Amino acid sequence: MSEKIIEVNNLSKSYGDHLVLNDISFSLPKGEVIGLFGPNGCGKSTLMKILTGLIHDYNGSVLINGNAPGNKTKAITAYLPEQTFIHDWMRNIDAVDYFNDFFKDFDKNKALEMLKRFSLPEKQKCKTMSKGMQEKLLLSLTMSRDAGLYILDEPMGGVDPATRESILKFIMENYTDKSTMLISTHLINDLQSVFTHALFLGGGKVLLNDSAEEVTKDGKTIDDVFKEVFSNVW
Amino acid sequence: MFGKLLKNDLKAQWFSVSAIYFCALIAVVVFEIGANVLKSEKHIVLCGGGVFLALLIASFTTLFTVAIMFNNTMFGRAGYLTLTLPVKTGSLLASKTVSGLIWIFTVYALLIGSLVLWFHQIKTLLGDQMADTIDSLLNIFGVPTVRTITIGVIIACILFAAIILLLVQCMHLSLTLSQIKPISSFGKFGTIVLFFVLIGVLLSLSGTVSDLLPINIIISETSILFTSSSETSDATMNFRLTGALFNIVASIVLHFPMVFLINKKINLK
Repeated sequence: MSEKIIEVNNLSKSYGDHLVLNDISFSLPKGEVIGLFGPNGCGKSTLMKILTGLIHDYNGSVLINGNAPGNKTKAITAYLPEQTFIHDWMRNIDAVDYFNDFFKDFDKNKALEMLKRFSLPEKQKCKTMSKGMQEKLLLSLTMSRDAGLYILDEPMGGVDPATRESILKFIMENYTDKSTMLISTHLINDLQSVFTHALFLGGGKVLLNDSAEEVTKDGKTIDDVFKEVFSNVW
Repeated sequence: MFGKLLKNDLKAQWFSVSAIYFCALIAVVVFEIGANVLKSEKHIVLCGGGVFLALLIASFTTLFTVAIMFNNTMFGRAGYLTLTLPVKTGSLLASKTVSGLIWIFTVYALLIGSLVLWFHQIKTLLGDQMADTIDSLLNIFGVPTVRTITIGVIIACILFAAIILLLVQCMHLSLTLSQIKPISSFGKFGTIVLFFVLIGVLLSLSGTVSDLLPINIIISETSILFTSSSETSDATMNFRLTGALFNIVASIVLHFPMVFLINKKINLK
């Protein structure tokens, strides 16, 4: 049996009366590219925030590499949230230096090369850049880490299809099989070729947790299975 | 790691306060030039007042900026980066407190400096004769020597920094508590009320403790004396220490509930 990077047991999380995650348990294997799928509001981002230690008031247990979310897990987890997280004062080069200061696994030279590749001027203020450019910057910073676990929340949500393709290529170029990647996305068609594992969330429950090979064994695509599963749920 | 946090927090706050300092600097230069060119009694008083006012506005704006920076970098979208750094929450908070303290202390030091300068300008304006009269009057009551005044100023700065430390910690705790229900439902208004209640209660307590357990420091030309008596003699300077000690201890104590709340209760939106 393959080693587990994420182990979740009886996890529940609600916002007021709204139960988003309802007593879910699952584990995810190491060294895979895992697609996290589900309709809007099904708890994908909430689950990612719990894994990264940004949400604390949940029931159940969550372990990353055997540790509860905290400093140890933050040191090995590279998180790309849905929204821009760069401080207003930073220029691109300041953001690179900031990551270099705090993450031991950060490769500054790689990040600078990525800025060049995406034509992001080092001295440009991050907040003056377009959403697409900001997304490229965040991705460059995240992927310049040699992390054990990458958690990417809608990494291509705000970019045009052409850029999307180059970003996807870029992610896969920088991914090594020593790491695990958990990617949430609605763009299943664009990304399904890279996924080796799929996790479907819906109605507060885990609806599917299996290898991509198993999910697509009947000749269906992940997108087909997604539509099938969620047409029964909603 | 604390050094790296502090470096980045100072840089982040400099980005916000530099505009305030620049505006204040322009105002100071304009008023000082005005005072030197016009040279009339009325204008020197007015220009000195202008400098003081500009720095007073700068000091309030700096306070406000430190609070906003804390809120944005901890609980705003930048919190997604700050709170996923592999550093202890205690270090994150301590760095923000120290950097806030440095900026606020700097602007208040400039404010006090401007008052001293203003006093000097007025004294010069009154002429040598009047200045001599003032000095003679002070001599009658016993003027502390330059050495005594220097030590006194250092101690006054430390005591003043203790108050600012408490102020910064109360701001940070109010902003942290405002992330939690039911306080969060009152919005910014709730945060402001909470801040004034906190600082009001703690400063009252500080005063009470100071009255109940008086420890004073009396500085003279030849000695620095710790005593519970507040009686002073000529040429000495007297400071109350208990209140400052209370402020420092209270500031340290306030650190722990913040760490607990951020680690256990606060969810980033």
